[in-house]
Amino acid sequence: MHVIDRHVYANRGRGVDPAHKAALVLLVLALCLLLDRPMVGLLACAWMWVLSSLWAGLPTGVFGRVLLAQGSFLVLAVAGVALSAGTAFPAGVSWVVHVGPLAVWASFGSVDTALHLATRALGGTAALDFLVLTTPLVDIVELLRRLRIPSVLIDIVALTYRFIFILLESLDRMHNAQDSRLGYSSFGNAVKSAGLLGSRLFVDSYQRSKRLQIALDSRGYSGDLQGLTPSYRTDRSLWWLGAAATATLLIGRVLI
Amino acid sequence: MTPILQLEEVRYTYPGNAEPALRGANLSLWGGKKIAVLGRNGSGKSTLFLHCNGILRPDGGQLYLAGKPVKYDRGSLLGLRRHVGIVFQNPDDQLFSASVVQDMSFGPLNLGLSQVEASRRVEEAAEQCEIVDLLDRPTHALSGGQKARVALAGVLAMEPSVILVDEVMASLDPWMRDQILSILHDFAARGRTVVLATHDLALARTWADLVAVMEGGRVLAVDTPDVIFSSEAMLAHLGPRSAWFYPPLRSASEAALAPQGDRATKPVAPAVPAPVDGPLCEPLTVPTERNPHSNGSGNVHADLGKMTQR
Ligand SMILES: Nc1ncnc2c1ncn2[C@@H]1O[C@H](COP(=O)(O)OP(=O)(O)O)[C@@H](O)[C@H]1O
Ligand SMILES: [Mg+2]
Repeated sequence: MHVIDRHVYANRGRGVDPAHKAALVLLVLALCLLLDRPMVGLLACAWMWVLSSLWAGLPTGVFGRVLLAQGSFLVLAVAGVALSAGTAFPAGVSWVVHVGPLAVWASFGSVDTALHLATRALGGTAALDFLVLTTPLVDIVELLRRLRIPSVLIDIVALTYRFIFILLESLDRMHNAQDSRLGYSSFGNAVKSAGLLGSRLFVDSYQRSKRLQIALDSRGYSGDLQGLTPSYRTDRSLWWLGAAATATLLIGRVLI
Repeated sequence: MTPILQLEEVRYTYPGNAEPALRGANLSLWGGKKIAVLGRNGSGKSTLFLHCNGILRPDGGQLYLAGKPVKYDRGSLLGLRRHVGIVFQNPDDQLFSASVVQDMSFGPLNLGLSQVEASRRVEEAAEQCEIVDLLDRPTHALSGGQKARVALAGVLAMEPSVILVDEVMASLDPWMRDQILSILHDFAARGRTVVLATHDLALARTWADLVAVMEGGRVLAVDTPDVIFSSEAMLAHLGPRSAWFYPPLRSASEAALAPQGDRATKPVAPAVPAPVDGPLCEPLTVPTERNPHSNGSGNVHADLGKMTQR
């Protein structure tokens, strides 16, 4: 959360119209899903890395680290698709490993399916990562507003985002208060303290929501969390890069 | 002349509480005044503020906005909130938006202003509070002092006639505190009213035009700092040993000889503030023998007076 947050407010792509970035991202996402080739997914990852590091000027490692974290979940998820286990294995499997009485096997077919799944998902994830790493929540909210999403939903998104940080802060403070009085000195204490902290956090959030309501009312709240419409710039280079990425993905589909 | 806002015999008990929080509070707010509200924790300062803004509705008594009784329908409440703004004690309760500019524009847009007018007001308030460089920042990445200034700016951008500030000073460093005090001073200088709840007696004595003392849900007195701080009775309400740290401005015998000397002993009288003539603070001379902590440097408060008095 904090890693993303640090970079999202300090990158060159920040002021660019979020609709343009979102259009590019959706296009790449759609191509990954429709073309369904491992190469397309990998090319999409490469392009998104280029866009975030060279176009938006994020440190080169950031995009990689975020994608790696998500990729490792993905590998675990598709491992189940590629591998099967049992006491007896069917005919026609390509690889078998015996672990005691258990057999673990995979076939060309299952590995191929897993590879398709993984790369397709990774390409789409990379595309969304690019949006998330270069677009602050305010701009995403503005985009949702333009898409005519009901304002109740948008307000929930906006408030939730703010409250995540407020809750994290309270959590930190309460944890420190407990820790400083030996609340986590033994396993038993830690379990008890964590339970107290959880219930306390719940009460805290409830009271805070009441205070928030008061503060909103005092500034004339009438059921809509209004804000100024931000102004954005248009960056033509994003369009050319988007076109080049699309072309590359299509060529990737044809050639490989 | 009618006061901008007047509270008359306001009584209020929080649901589920046995003890009332306000038991007939009277207060009148005129334009161009800086008012410090003093009083112990739980004396009802915050509750009083919430009434001024129409958040709480009195169980008994009445509010008047520019002489007209306040009704509690939607339109009247919006009118009241257009004129009276509150800066809450904890800025985190007030800042709900992801970005500073979004938060500051919330109030002005609720007043029905256009985007152009709202953004003009946001810019103006941001300049006043010196947070122009923070406008695009996320709210959660601000320091405490920055949050306090953003919260203040969000209320200033609504251009209210009265601004109520609830104990924000305690967590601010002296520089931040001074900056906020001077913003509030400028605000009052434009004919508007500032009400500041505080526990800082030195601040009340030097910065405020009027001091209101609250106790047990009532406003005991509203008067100039001179009068409040020369009353032994009032000083007794302001805290233990406050008579040592803030000895009467005139010695008791002088006050008795002075033509209007009886004001000093009976300041509890009306909730109507006396007009302030002449300098807000007389130069202070602290009789050292009455102040066991001063070690002969009895003009500490006098220096403070010069610094905060703009
Ligand atoms: N939200 C609340 N619910 C119930 N009682 C409250 C609430 N807020 C304040 N009170 C009570 O009202 C009284 C006045 O409190 P308050 O106005 O907060 O005083 P102050 O701001 O001067 O410290 C106190 O006795 C307090 O316990
Ligand atoms: Mg209070």
